[in-house]
Amino acid sequence: MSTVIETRGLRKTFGPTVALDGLDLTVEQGEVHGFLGPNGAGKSTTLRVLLGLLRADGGSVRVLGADPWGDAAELHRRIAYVPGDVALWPNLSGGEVIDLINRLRGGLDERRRASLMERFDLDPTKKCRAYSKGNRQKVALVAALASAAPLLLLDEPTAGLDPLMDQVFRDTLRELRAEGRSVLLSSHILSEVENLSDHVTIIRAGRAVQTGALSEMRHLSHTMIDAQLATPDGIAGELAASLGVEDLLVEGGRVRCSVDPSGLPGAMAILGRHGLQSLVSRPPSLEDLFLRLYREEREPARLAEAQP
Amino acid sequence: MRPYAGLGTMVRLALRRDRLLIPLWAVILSAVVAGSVAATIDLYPDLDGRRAAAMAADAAPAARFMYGPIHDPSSLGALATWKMGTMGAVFIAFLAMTVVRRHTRTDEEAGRLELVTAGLLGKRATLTAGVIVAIAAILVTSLLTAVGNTAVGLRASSSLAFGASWAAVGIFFTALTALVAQLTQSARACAGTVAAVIGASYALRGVGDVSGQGWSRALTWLSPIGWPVEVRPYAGDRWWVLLIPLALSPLLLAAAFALQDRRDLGEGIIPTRPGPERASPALSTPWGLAWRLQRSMLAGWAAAVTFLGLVLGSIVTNVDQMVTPQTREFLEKLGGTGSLLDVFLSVEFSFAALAVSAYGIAAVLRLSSEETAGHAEVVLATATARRTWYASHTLIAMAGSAALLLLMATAVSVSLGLQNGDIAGTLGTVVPAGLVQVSGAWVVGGLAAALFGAARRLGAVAWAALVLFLLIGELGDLFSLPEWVMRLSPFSHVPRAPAEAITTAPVLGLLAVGLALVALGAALFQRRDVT
Repeated sequence: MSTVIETRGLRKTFGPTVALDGLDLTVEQGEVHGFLGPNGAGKSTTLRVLLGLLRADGGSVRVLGADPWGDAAELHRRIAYVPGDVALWPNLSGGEVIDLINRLRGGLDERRRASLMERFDLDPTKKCRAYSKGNRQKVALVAALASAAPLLLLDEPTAGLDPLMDQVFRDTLRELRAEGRSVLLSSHILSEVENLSDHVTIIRAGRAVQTGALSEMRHLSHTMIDAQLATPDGIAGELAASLGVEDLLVEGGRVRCSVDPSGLPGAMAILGRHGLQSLVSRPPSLEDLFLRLYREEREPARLAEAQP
Repeated sequence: MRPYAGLGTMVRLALRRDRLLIPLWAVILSAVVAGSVAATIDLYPDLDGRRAAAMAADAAPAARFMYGPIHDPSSLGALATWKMGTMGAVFIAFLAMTVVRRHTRTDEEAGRLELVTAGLLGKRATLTAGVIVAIAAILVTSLLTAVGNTAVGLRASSSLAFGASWAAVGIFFTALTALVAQLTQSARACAGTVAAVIGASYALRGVGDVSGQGWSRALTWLSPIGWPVEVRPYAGDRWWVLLIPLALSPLLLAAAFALQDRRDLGEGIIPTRPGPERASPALSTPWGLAWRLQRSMLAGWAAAVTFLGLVLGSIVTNVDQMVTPQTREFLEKLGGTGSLLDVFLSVEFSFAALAVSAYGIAAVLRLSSEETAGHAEVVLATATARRTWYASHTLIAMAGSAALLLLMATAVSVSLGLQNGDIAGTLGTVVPAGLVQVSGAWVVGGLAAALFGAARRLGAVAWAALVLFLLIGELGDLFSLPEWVMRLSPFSHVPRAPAEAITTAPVLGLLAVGLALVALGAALFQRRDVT
């Protein structure tokens, strides 16, 4: 497997603002790589550096073996891009924009174009100014997905799509992955990428804080528990002693914690013994993960003690 | 919901956004007028000199076309405000258009209005706020001008009439823009439509003022830019003329509000037609895209300069019948020595060069608006090289400028040739005279391109440069500016053909400077971030 994107120690500043602060990012060929981070973390800036629209202040970048700043135009034949803020020419029709972008890139998969138009239920004769936000997003998506480019850079591509179209997008992305194409998919919502991505890189304040296969990320396989108990006496001690329970918070009869898969049966049994009244369980969100990372940064000693 | 809910907030928001724009316009415009009045007073201290100058100027058709007649040669104020009265009316009209459009259609297109109307905002609040702020800007500018003219020594009541004549034009174009903003769906189309009305009004007034009498005299009265001329400030102060714009403006505003009440946010009254399902083969390259984006503006300008050329060509034959020694002397000061007809043409061509430079800047700065809108990002993420994208728009701007001047000169020649029976011969002398002006326009276009290359926002500075060149050309002699300041304007180096012989050295030099500036912009753009 070869590497399609590799950045090392990437730095980019805008005046006094540090947008990228030593970012390391590796995307292997054939993978859908989730690029996660809160708004303002530097995701769009990274994508623009990868396209050679912005010049990095420091560090190294290679995209498909080329330098995006120096070889931009040639490199872009092999990259399809959906910007985070889709802006299209108001007086061109959607069909014209899709054709134009693909001709400028130098390659259009006619069969896929036709099928995508149908699946996304897009009227190609409408002028771009007349499209809703969701429909403009669809135009940009069809333009990128109908290309034959081996690498796709998608910046929050599902923003503004309804759930039905979101599903069409996911199906199409799986097809592309089956063809061996590589995708860098940015998002600020964890659940959006976890079904699609093999690997993720999580960035915050211009740095990668975690990277790797989703299945290997311990905290992401946890279950977040929020329970209401009738008899909470002694629950804090019991749960704290139970294996795989973390981030415990007890407030009267309300208990919140995160539990890893191995500790789930034990934890549920303890909760049951204390008169479980209501229970909400959900997968961890990106916000949970960040809260955890913040806490680790602030109180590394105490957390290390609590989790031997 | 109450239709005007939130009006106060919207007015404050608009004033906050325009806190630089409006004071700058008001101060610069009134200062230029007061300054030129003061300079005229110094230049012609006695009545005889003033009368001679005024009569000479009034008898020159080229001058009447550009600035209108001088209704009272013995009035100091009439001579002193002669040029700026008409030019200022045009500036005021553009100020009105700029302010109203900014706060209505531009915001609506950008989706900002959606953001604020989703709050507790009445349906009429934004349009009303835009109109109020525009009228406030116009009143401040007009009042400041009236005060300035009084301060430098003109009669207060007439100065007030002068200011009021500007204010009335401004209010008329405020109301017109409010209406057009309802009709068109894009801010660009709104600006284009109102600018076309301003341009046509100016030309209509010019034709009316040159002909002096008969039915064509009525053209001045049909032109909104003609009304302030007909007020005749400092030469009778005919206040009643102001009733025309003041009666029409409420009607236009009422129509604007009626239309706004009936339409949806984001929509225009003129519906958008569906476009083609597939892109034509022409839309396959960066050049095809640039042409598609630029062609309608170029076509509009082409129609305008052709019309203007035909009109000028037909007026110019009357010139020789109006010769007086003073007129000749005055025109020679403006356009150099030579036959009166040639002098007239050279004055008009140097004026046309300024107008075409405005086209050049607008066309080059399409780069800037494409980058701001995020369209550049879409194109530059494809296999389009930066220099190709940059070249596609700049070369259309440069070639377009040349084409417009060629078109205008050809139109003048044909119109003139039809009357003197020698089209071929006329083409031979007039077309080269028009084409030398390309050199000045290219320097201005190149300047805009270089500034854009350096930074996206800097491009707009080219407009300031053009206004500076215009003021140097129009008022430099009056203010006795030092030679080196006068030479800053590229147009000061362009030969005044056909009245003077065409010298190749300055023309080639200016063309080279223009192209060098374009190349400099390309090199700078290659090195900066696309944002």
